[in-house]
Amino acid sequence: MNRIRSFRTLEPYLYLLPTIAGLILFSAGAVAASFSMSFSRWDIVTSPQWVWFDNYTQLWHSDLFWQVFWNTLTFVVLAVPLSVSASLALALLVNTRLRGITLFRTAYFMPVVSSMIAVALVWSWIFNADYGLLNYLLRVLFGVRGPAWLDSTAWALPAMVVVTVWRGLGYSMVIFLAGLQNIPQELYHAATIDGAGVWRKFRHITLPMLSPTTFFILVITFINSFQVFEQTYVLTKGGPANATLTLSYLIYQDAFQFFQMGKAAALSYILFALIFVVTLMQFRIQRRWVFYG
Amino acid sequence: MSTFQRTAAAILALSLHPRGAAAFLLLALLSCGGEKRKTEGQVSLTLYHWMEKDRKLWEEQILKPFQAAHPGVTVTLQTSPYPLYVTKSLTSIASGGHLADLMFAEDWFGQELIQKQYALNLMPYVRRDIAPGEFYDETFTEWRGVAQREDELYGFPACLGLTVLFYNKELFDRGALSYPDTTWTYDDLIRVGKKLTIDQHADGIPDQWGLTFDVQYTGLETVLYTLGGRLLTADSRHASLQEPPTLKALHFIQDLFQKERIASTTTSLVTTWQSFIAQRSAMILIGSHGAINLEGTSLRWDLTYPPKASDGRRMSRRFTMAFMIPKNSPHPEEAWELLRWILTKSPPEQISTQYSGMMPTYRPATASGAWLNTPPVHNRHLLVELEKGYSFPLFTPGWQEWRDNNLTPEILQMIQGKKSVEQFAADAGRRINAVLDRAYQAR
Repeated sequence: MNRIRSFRTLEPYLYLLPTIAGLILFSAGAVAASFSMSFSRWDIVTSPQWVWFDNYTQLWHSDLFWQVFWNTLTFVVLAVPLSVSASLALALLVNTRLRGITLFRTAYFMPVVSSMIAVALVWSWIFNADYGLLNYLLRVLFGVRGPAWLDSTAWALPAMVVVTVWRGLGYSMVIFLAGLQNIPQELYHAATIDGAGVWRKFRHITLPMLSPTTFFILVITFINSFQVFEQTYVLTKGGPANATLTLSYLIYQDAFQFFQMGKAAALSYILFALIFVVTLMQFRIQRRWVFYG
Repeated sequence: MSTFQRTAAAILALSLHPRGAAAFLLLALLSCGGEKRKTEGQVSLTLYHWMEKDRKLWEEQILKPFQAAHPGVTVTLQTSPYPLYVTKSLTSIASGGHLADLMFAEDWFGQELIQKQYALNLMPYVRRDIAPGEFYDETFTEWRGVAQREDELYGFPACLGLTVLFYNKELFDRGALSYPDTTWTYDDLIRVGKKLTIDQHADGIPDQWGLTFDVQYTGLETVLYTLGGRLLTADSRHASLQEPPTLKALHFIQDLFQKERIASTTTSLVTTWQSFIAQRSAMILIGSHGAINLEGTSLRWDLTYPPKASDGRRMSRRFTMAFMIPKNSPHPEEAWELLRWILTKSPPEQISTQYSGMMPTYRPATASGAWLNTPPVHNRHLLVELEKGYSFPLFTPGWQEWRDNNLTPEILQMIQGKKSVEQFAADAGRRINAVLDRAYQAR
C-alpha cells in the first residue's frame, strides 16, 4: 500500500522528468555555463582562464561598446513607437467587414513569414543609391537626389528601422486585430447614442479596451528590437563604420569572428540586464495605464 | 537534499567552472552521437574548405585520383559557404570535435589558429618532401606566426592574392584614354582619374568616379607602404600611424577623396565591387582575389600593377590562403600527402577555377599555359612579377577586430574630411593598439 502511495507521489515527477532534464541540459545548463563564461577569457581554441570582472570592465572602458550601446538604444527608440503605432493603424484599417479583406490581412502578414534573406535582397534594391526604387521615386516626384541609404552612416540605421518595422508589422497587426474584435460592440453603440465621434470613441473606448494587447505588443517589440540581429547581418553587417552595429551583432562578432567568447558572454548578460530592466519598468508602469476591466 | 536537488546542484557547480562547462557541453554533444572515423585498415580523412561551387570538380578531379593512388585512404569533402567558414570552424573547435584533417584558411584566420597552437608544425614534412624553390616560399612568412622561427610553419600556402589596379576598358575607350600600365605613378592615377570622374547631371555629385579605392586594407596598405609610410611597427605589435612618412601618405589618401575628388567614400568603403561592375568607377585598387566578382559579368576589364611612387618605389599588399593540419588530426602523414597532392597534382585547367583571381604558390602551375590563358584572359603573368618583386604581407593576431571595428570607422571619418589626418592617426592608433595589446597578451 505504502509502495503504491509513494509511486503515486513520484509518478507526476516521472512524467515531468524528460522536460526537466531537457530544461537543465539545454536551458539552465547553458545559462549557467554562459554566465560563468562571462567571467572568463576564452578564445575557443585554448582552455578558458578565470578573469573575474575583466570582461565587464573592459567593456565599460571601450568606446566601441558605448557606440554600440547607443546604436541599439537609438534603434529601439525609433523602431518601437513606429512599429506599435503603424501596426495599430493597420489593424484598425483591416478591422472591417469588407469583401476581400482577408486577402489584405494575408498580404500584410506575408513579410512575417518571408525569408529574411529574400526580404533583405528586395530592400537592398529599394535602398540602392543608384538603381533603387526609393531614390528613383524621390528623383521623379520631387527632383531630389536621395542618399546612399544603407551605405551612409547617417541613414543606415533609420533604413534598418524601416525594414524591421515593415517586417514585424503583420505580426503585431494580427494581435491588435484579435484585441479589437474582442471589444464589445455595445460600448460603441452606447457611445454613438451619446453623440461621440470617431476620435472620441477611439480615445475613450478602443485605446483603453485595447491596452492589455498594446502592453503585450510593447513588451514583445521592445525585446525583439533590443535583440535585432538578422537585419544587421543581412543588410549591413554592422557597417558602414559601425553605424548599424548593435549589441546582438557585436556579440556574434566577438564570439565567432574575434575569438572572445568570454567578452561575448559578458555582452549577452549586459543585453539581458538591459532587457530585464526595461521590461520590469514596463510592468511597473502598466498599472497606471493598462485596463483589464 | 533530495537526489534531484543534489543532481541539479552538481550540474550547476559543474557549469560554473569553465572546464566543467566545456566538459558538460562536450558530454551533451557526445551523447548526440558521433562519426566513426576509422574502420579496420582504412584511413578516413576529412578535407574542409569553402569552395562549394567547385565541389564536383574537387571530388572528380582531385580526390578521386588521390584515392585511386592511395588505396586504403578515403577522403570526405566538407564544404561551407565562404562567409560561414570561420563560424563553422569555431563552433566545431568549441565543441571539442574534430573539424578536419586538412583545412583551408585565410592568413588572418590562420594567425589566430597559429597563436592558439591549433595547427601542426609542417616544417619537418616540408624539409623532407619539398624541393627548394618548388613553391614561392617567401609566402611562408605569414604562416610561421609572429615568432617567425625558421623551423616552424603552421600552414602551407596554396595561393596568394596581390593588390592590383583593375580597370574598365570600355570606360577608358569612351574617354579615348590609354589603359593604365606598369609605368604608371600615382600622379598618373590622379591625372587620368580626374578625366574619368564625370558629373553627368551637373549636381555636384559625380555619376562616374575615376577610382574606387579599397580603404579597408589592400588599397590603404599598398599606398601607405609605397609612399614610405607604414601601418604597423616592424614587430607588428603597435600602430605606427603618427610617423611623418605615414602622415604624408595619409594626406595623399585623404586628398584622393577631398582635394582631387577622384574617389567616393561610399563606393570605396561599401559598394566597392558593385560600383565597378555597374561601371560607376573606372578603376579599382584592390586585392586580385576580387576577380571572382567579375566572373559571369560582361564587363571588359583587365588588371595591372598598382602605381609606383614618384621615386620608383612600388609595393603590393599580399595575402595568402593555406592548408593547415590541425594538431588533433589522427592521420597527419596522410593529411600531408593529400595536401601535397592538391597543390602539385591538381589538373592545370582546374587551378584557375580553384583559386579564382589568386595565384597558385606552386611555381610550375604559374608557368603553365593552362593557368595563364584560362578565360577570362587577363594580365595574369603580372601577378607573378608583382609577387616576386614588390609584395609584402601584414599580419597580426586580432587583425579582423582592429581592422573592422576600429580602423575602418576612423578611416571613414578621415576620408570624409570629418577628422584631420593627424587626429585620425592618433585615434586609430590608440584603438588599434588597444586590440593588439590584448591580442598579444592572450598568447
